[in-house]
Amino acid sequence: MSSDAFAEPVVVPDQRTSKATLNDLRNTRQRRRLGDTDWYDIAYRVYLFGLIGLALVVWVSDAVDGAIGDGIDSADLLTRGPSIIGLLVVAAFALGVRSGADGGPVSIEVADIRHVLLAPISRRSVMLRPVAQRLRAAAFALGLGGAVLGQLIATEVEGSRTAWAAACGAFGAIVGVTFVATAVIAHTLRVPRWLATILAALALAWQGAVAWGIWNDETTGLARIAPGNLAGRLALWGISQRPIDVIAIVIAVAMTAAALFLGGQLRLEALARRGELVSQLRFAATVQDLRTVVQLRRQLRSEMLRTRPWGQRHTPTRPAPAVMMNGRATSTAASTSASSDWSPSASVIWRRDSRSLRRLPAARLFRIALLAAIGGVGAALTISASPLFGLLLLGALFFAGLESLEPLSQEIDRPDLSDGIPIERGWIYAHHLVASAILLVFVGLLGAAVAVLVDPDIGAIAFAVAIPMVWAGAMGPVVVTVLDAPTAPSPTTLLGTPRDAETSLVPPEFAGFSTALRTLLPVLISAIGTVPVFVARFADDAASVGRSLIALVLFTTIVVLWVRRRDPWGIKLRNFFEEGRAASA
Amino acid sequence: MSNSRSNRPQSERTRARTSAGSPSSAGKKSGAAAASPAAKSGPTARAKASAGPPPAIETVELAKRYGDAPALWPLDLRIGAGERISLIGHNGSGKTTLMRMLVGMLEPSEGTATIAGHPIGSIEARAAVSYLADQPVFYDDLTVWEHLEYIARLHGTDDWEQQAVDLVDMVGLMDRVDDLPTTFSRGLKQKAALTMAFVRPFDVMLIDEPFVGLDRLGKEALLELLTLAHGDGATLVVATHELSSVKESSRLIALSSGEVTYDGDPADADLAALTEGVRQDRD
Repeated sequence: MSSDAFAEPVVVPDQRTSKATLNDLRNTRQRRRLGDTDWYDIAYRVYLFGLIGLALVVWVSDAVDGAIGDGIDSADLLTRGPSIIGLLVVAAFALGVRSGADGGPVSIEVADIRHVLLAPISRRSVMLRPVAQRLRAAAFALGLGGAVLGQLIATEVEGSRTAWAAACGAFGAIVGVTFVATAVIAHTLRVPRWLATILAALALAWQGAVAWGIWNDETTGLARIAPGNLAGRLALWGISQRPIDVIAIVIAVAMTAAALFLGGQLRLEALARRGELVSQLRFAATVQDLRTVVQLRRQLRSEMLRTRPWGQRHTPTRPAPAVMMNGRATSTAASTSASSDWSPSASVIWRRDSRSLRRLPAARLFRIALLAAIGGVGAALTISASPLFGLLLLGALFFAGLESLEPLSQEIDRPDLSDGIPIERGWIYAHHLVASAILLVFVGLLGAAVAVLVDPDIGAIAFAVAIPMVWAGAMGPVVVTVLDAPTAPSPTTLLGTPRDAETSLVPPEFAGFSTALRTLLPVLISAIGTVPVFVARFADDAASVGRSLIALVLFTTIVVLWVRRRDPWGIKLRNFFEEGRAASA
Repeated sequence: MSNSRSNRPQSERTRARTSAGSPSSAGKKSGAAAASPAAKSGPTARAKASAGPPPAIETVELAKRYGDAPALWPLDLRIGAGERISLIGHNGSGKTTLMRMLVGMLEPSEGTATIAGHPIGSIEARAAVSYLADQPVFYDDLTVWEHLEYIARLHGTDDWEQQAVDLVDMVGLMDRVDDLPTTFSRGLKQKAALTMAFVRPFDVMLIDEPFVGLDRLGKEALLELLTLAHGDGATLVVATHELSSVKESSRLIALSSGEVTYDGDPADADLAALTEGVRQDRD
């Protein structure tokens, strides 16, 4: 071993030169990106986004018109509102601290990590721009959303439109900044995940308890203090302004400064992992692949399936390896050969799927339970308060379904494995739904229990409709998942036109809307699952609800049948069209 | 190769430290060497100078775990300046984990490590160490030449062009220098990454599986570059499965399941056994 050692200290390049080089690199790349940009495509996207956004705002505006204004007293709103609205800021803090513990929220290119962050240049100066961009994007997006919401609120509550838009816009920006800055600070302070969970839970519990107490007029004095109140009160500046609320802005600015200052201490390990996943996530989002987006977000959170399934105490005993003779196992050859009367066994799929679901990590099970609770709240409020809460129910049904379909997702994402099994794919796919359906039974029962807690008048109806609802609601995710399965490639469409010619001749408006429809279709299918709740709200008789339940069961059966028979039906349909073309020719 | 040799990618620091008679020691003075006098007179440098010169790489109880699974058990290692180390071991033995920790891409679960006396990941350590990873990574929108320019300049090298030309010529990429490396095959990517690792000044080079995907020309070029760098006093650590290249090294370290199973003269080692994880005591 050499005893040679460094006689001279390491020389670090001049930082001003390095920063100038970095700026040069970024400017060159930005110029190139702008040069490669398809401005027509961007303009079309802006046009489409604007059109859909405007339609959505008009629809929501029409829906809320008069729905909340009559019963709201401004003084009451100023008393009870801040602690409830403040829940949003505290939720942003909770999500931020959890995201930070998981390595979020900033991501940069892997090449930047390898070539720039490993170079002798101040990491703070390198990370300043990505962190600032993330803060700016979050503040802008939520600020814009807040301003639009403020405009809508101004039609129902006293105060000028400008004041409401500004106040809600500022509040939205604070929520965005709180999330990103908290995540960056938690990440750089190396907050462990368990501590992040505790901090998030404590903050939410504190704010929630105060909001609950104020809502029920049970809280007075210092007990009314909660972390999100000042920001919540700021959102109500459309009614009246209170100087002390500016402290919320000061805190947000201080957090922004801290995040920018600490940005250079973000861990490379987490940045590298996020860098790889976020590029895939952006691509999936670009092609409106909702399922992949959800899957990649799980990976971003480092959410791994458990090695040992829940409830399994011991490692299963296995036979000893067979003795190898001349490269062949001596004892297993005969026993592993397939017998002639072999047929597929549903129990094999069931065993595989039950283990898959029992491997779901605690965080995911908690998320499924949370979605069930949100669905329950949404259903109860849809019946008793406003049909707008149906959106909450729909979101919960869709995402609970998506979270529960792990076995089917695993199968579809590995088509080579499925194709290696001498069984019809549809049979395998359909049988994968059994375990998920059983998990969804628990989701439905939990949702029903929460719905009854929120509105005891619902009573037995909740438990009667819950399970068919969650099954039907999961059909959207089932369709989007099964559509990801590969199909036999064909150069022509059903009508016989070449696929390339078809895609190139489609006008952009149609292509854009067909893309949007492809994204929305699974959500629309899941929306069928909410029908009994709306029937209960508007028809309010048990017979109608019963009929809607029968319709749901029929609908679910049809979708499951489609999963089972998709391939043969597709072949039959194609043959039918080809025979038709041949006959007409 | 004489042209490449006279313009070979070595830091001024390395040249100054090594034999005065070396042809490369008369080479051009890089911008990096002239810069940052503050670094030379900083408190860290003074403290280290009073305690004696540090080794190129030193780890103290350095360990890495992924959850409950240990990837590298606590490791004490001291690698002197100018050593040429071969790091071998089976898949999953901890070679890449060790390298990534030394370069600052992975955080140790326990322990500490220094490069040239500076904590891993510090700006001085980053200035001292060049890392050629097993998976080359490039910008989608920069050519090979643009990569070389920016990497050299980020490391404070102004007179990089001739050096880059020699490197590119040496690995046979001259015709592709204005192409995007992300469109390259695995072997060409590896060659492009090679040029980028050598175009910047360095005292310590960590190389992970450098021969993967390389053709004969590429392997020869890499071995020559390594020999030249070592001749100029750079410390080299090469993680490899190519046992034939081990004989070039002055010291062999074998890892198995995150533990050192051999540390000594390559000539005394049973390489086949070591790559299968068999522990071998040093003579």
